[in-house]
Amino acid sequence: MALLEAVKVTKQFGGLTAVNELNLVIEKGTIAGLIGPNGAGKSSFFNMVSGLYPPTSGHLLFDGREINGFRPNRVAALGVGRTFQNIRLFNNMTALENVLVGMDCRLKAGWLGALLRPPAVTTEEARAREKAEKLLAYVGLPRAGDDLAKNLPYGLQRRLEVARALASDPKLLLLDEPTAGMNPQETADAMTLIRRVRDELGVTVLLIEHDMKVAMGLSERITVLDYGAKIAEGTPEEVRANPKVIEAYLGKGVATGLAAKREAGPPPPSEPMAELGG
Amino acid sequence: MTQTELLIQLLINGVTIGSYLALIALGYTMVYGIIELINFAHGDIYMLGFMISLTLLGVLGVRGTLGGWELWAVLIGVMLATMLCTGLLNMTIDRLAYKPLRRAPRLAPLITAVGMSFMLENLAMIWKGSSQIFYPNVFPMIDIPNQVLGMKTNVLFTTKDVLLIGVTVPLMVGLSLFIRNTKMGKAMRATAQDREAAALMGIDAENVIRTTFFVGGALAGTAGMIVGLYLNTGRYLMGFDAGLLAFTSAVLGGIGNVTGAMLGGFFIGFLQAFSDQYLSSEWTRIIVFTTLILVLVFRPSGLLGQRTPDKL
Amino acid sequence: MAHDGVESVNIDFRALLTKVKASGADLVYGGFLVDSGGPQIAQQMDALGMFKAGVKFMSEDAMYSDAVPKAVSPEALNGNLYVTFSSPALDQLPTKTGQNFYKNYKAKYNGDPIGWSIYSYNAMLVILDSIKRAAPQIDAAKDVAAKRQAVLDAMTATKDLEGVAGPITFDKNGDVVTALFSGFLFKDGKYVWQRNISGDMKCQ
Repeated sequence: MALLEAVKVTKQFGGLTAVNELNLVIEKGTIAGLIGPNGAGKSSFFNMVSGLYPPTSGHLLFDGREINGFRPNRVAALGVGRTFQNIRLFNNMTALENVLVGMDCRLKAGWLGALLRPPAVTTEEARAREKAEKLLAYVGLPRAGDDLAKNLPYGLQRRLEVARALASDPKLLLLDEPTAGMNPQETADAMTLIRRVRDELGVTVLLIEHDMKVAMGLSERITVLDYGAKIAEGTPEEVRANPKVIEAYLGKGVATGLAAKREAGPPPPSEPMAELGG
Repeated sequence: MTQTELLIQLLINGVTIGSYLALIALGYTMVYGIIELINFAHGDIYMLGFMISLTLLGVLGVRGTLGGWELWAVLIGVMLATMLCTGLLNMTIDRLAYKPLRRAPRLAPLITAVGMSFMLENLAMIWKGSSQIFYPNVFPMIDIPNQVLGMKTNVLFTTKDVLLIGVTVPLMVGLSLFIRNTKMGKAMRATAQDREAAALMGIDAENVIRTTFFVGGALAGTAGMIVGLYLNTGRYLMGFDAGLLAFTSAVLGGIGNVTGAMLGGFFIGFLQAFSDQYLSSEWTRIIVFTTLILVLVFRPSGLLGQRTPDKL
Repeated sequence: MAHDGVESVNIDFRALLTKVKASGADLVYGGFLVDSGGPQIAQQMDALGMFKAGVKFMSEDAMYSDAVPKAVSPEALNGNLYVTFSSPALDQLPTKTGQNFYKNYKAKYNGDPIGWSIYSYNAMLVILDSIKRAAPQIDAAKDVAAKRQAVLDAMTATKDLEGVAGPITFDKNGDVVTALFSGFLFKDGKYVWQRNISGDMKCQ
């Protein structure tokens, strides 16, 4: 069953078409990957799904329901959590508070309740705190609850972003380059965490990834975008073998020779081929 | 008056002026923290708090000093009603004047706020006239050191000073706790730091903005009422003057920073008290705004602000 | 002697008045208007206990109204508020015009006229008188500008016109030459005439 479905989704910014008639289906319970050179429209697609801006045309269906033009907080309340390419934690709040903010839309207490503090509210707050602590422990930050987000090391900040996204009990988790800037050990740990999120919590994962090892290693299905359009789709093996994909990444007529490429100048759109081989 | 008495009196004056300025400054700083708008109409909400509470007292038929349960029932009742009115009014102003400009360049809502300020001032002038307005002397004034403690001193510290501090300081502490601990407070801080990310985490930014305007308006309204009870006088332009000083306090403390706004308010209060005494009241505003300029030159983000603004 | 200034939009003058109080001044004089802080100064002087300590408050004709007694209390102000004004006490107005004005004003508005009511009334008298005296020139005038000039000329030439507080005559600069000036003290709930003051501010 499809959890997320895009039907002929197009996004134009002025004269620029960022996403062009994209059809995409993410099955419930999968880890899916979205790859493509820089500017291929991956982040634009994420932003449309999470409600930052509406598609110019086409339909986005989440859990069978049209979410075109929903505001971000409404999409989040429906069950879409996300992380960001450049970490966007609430830096001057503690790790625990960051997670609690992620839980906001699941808590009932209004501001009146917050002022009067009836037992139902205090119980709910205690439960929320407990759950937030558990989530922090789950992503591997068991003792970081009281640290300000900005004081955490980079790798832990990425984990905290995942914990914050999980706090809203999402059905779908959108991960925008979850391993960007990580060393190999951190990357391996992050991959383990993402698998556990799917396996243990049953959360469907859609990730954008530049590191082909990660994208190929995690995803069960991969969709490749180039210039806003889908150029390939399938299992990692199928995608890797697809000539269109190689062409998109390395330019026409070039198949091998990363070193030569580097010396010759900047590679056409972006990714080195060695990583494609994964 | 001896020098010691004078110094104590100046400190008392500084604290009392500072405490209502701080209460008004909170509204400026909170709104700026969330939507980066300097809400110039905020000072006029303070003025309307004065006018509304005055009207409510009139409706209740209160003319002079009250005592006993009657005093507390009237004070608390009128204060809550005033807070509700000014809070809702501030929320309505946001809905009508600022919300349609949420995505407009920042200058547009700023100019709108200035216009809104003139509008409120002139409406108040039509409503209550342009003369100074006398506020009933509801709260009994007792000279505490002389009449209660039996001391012989020229220092004037009365029950009204206690009322002013006793209302404003707990409200400030309450606001700090509200922002620190409650779900809405966390949502406010998150929204102040990154409105888009907060929305993507499921926070309804518009709801946060509404609440911010409500809370800011309610605090300013309380300040208006308390100043009425304290000074027994007001005017349709009182919000312009106090608003300017409160806004300066907010900037001085680091705009967007709640603790900074409170400290800034007290700082300006002391500055005013000491400058009036040792220089000349004609120089006070020059001193206040020069201090502001110096702070902005040497610490552009205010006394408590950080390089990356530590909002709320 | 010390000099200070206030902002007309301010309503909180306690800091300034604390300085006055500490200085041991005997009198606070301010050229206030009713709307520029005068009554508030008086009120806060009272709140700071300055009237009780014997400090007096003095202002000019714009404050010759009930605004200050309303702001403070007649009891606190008793013997502590002075105003200067160019008229004798209202019940001792020397002219017929003045007596009629006072009587009619009281009947219509159910209260005493304030200083500026008297000034306005005098001004209106001058205008009407000037128009009356300029009538032939107005009729003869060719255009509106000439008509206006005729009225203005007549106005400058005003001499011994009976006003509320005495005859009105203008000198070549347009100043009133026969102005009566007197000092009032607020006592027992009303302004009580004290003495006349000549134009060079010497007590007569």
